[in-house]
Amino acid sequence: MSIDNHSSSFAGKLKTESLDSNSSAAIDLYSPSFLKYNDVIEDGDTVMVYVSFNMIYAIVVKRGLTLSMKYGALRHDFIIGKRWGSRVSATAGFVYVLRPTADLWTRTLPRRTQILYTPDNAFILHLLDAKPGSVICESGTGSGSLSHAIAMCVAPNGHLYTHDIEESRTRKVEQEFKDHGLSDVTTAVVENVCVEGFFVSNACDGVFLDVPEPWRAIGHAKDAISRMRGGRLVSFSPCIEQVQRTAEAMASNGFVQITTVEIVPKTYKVIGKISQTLEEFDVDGDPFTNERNTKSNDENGETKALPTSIKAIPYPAQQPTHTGYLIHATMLPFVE
Amino acid sequence: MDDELGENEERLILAGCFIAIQKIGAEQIRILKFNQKSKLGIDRLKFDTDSAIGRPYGLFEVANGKVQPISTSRQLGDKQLPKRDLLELPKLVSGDSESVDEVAAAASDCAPSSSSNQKNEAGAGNVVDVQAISHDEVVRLKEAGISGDTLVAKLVQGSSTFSQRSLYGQEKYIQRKSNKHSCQVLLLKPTISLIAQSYYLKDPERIGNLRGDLLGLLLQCGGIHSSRKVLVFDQVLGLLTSAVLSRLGGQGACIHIHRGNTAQSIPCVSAMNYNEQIMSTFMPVRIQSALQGKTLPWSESNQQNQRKKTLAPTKNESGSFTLDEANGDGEPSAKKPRLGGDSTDLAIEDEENETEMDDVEKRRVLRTAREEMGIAVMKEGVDSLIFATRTVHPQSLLEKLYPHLKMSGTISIFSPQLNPLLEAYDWLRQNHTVVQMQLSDQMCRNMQVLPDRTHPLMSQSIGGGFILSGIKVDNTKPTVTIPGTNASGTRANTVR
Repeated sequence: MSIDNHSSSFAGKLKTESLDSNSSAAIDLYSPSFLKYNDVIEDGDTVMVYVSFNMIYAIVVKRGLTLSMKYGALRHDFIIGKRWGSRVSATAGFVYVLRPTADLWTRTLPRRTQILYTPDNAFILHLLDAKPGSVICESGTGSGSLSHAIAMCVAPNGHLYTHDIEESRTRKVEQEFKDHGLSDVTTAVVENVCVEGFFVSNACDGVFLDVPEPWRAIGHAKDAISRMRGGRLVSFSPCIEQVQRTAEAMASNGFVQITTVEIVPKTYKVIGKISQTLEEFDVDGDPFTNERNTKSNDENGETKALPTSIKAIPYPAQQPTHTGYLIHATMLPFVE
Repeated sequence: MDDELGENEERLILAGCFIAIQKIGAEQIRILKFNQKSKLGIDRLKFDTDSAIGRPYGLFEVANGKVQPISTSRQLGDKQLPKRDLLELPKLVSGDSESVDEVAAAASDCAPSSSSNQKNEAGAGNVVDVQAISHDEVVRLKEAGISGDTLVAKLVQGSSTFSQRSLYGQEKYIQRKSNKHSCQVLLLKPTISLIAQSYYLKDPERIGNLRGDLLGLLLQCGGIHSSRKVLVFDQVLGLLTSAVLSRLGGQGACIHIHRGNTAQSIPCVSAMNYNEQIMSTFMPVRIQSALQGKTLPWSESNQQNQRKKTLAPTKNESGSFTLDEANGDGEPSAKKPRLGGDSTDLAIEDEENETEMDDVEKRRVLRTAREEMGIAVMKEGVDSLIFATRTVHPQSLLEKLYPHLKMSGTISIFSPQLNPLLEAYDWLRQNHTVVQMQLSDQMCRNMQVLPDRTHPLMSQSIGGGFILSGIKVDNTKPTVTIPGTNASGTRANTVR
């Protein structure tokens, strides 16, 4: 599953701190941007190599490197200069080269921890009222899934302060921000927000907490929020006991509109309607069995040529039914 | 200094702007236009708008028809009462009114619970509660400006059954009375999440059941962020358009395809009080202009003038009792005082002083310019197609608008029904190359959070819808015909 050159491009980033500081000075600062909108792919851009549904690799294209995957080897030089969205041939098939989005990054990022997925990320941004110009504090950083979503949302004039207790995670996400052209809108710090509080105080519009004991961080969150503008607080907790204590801490710190919600997403696949007659079955047999036999490359839910009538069924059969509760609340502007 | 003033203004309630108003203890949020010298009513509370104008957004107490800001320290004082030990409750209640007051205050501490809890659960179901304090007396006390907490304390004392209730029953009684008689209101700056919640609770069908979490997902699947060029089709009162404008933050393009001569029925855009900079990305394009790819002559209907005439008296009446709820069909760009280039807050009045012809002419020039910008962006190609439809078939939208989507651009479509999306899915798959297609919906569940009694709400609004998303790719090689199943059996030539 881990692809040699794919991981090597990440490994390359880690071991070449010095090289990178050289190159970041030499190459233009915004080169590999998640936010930049050039028509063609350039050296240093992050590219989402789409192989099949949910089989996507995020690579930083660099001349001389090669990605090897299901459809063989793909030289980066081959990608450079192509238009975004093009079909690119590899030695044993072809792939599409896609522009990065927050959603695709969440699907492809190297996981160092449990991560938040797009439905939760999207809802959290909504609950934080995040928009360009917002200043948001987040803890913990984890693998940077939500961090990227926030950073892209608040750019170009907002800022994300992301906190984690693990220095290694902070360094890695910092490097990713640099690779993705998000350094200007982000600050990653090693800090235990439950003890030391946040990197900023009286400054931000929103705080997001994903920590084991969020109730210990509520007072610090209040301190981080701008007294003049007020702000929003969202806390993610998998367990109901955590929710209980967090909600109490929010109330006693003066937060209002305290609400707890959870979302349970469901994905579908589109199929042909079951419409076989007994006679047809006698002649044709079970079309689902045939379909299954021919869909070797299709472990995804995208089925093939449809009969006239179409339906959807939940797919895959096993889906997450709980990620965590989102407790959200408002801090009002300070009044004398 | 100017900046400071600007930022200050951002946090002040100004005459003529929209605000979100919510009574403490109530679920409903209303989005209203805050006119000068009018009376505003929400859940039996009435107050003069003038008493709030010029004050920062926040928590207010209503007394004697006026609002008074509640200081943060007082608000905190209320919250920081020692956590009530349930076992002590009867003792407290049997004591003097002050301690009952404390109980009431502590009860108001709890997070607002659902209306489903509000059934009477007195211990013995057939005992009729006799309230010593009559309705008239309550009204009289309220007119005298009694605080909500004191009133609840009086009601507890006046209740014949209170002492016979179980502990939980007593708590619920207090909670219910506190919610009912709360005199506190939140006056907030409208945000997308407040507006989405307000409409979802009040009028879900008009926004096609587009719940906040689904709206968020729709934007995220569309990869909406600053500087992105977005083509919007919105049948949800402008909620989607407004959210896109908010996420663009003044950079990029939000092309809004609309009926008629002007973008109508988009109160959610007006409700955000967007400034000129944010509105600079708003590019309304008429359906026919979008289809033909050029700005068509404006149909010389007197509809426009008529609208103008019906609008004008409303403005003049602003002195009287007008609740200009964000409901109307007004043209938001016209309502935006700052969009027309007049940068003062008095722009609306200025407009009124001008002759109507000038006004109409000026707007037409502005509309033409915006539409031309929008069409130019469409010709270059957009990065996102984002639709929230109720009655228009998404396939029809795709047939007309899909060619404007750039390669690697995103498609995200919301529909309250599944079937139209299935047909759109099929169309995309058969006619074009779209990868990473996904069809999803989600359940959103609210929780009651109370000490030792935390559980999902017994009932809540469950309306929602479905989202179809995908990414357009360039599939120029003629050998592959089935999108999404790239390079399955047939191998492309090895490239050297």
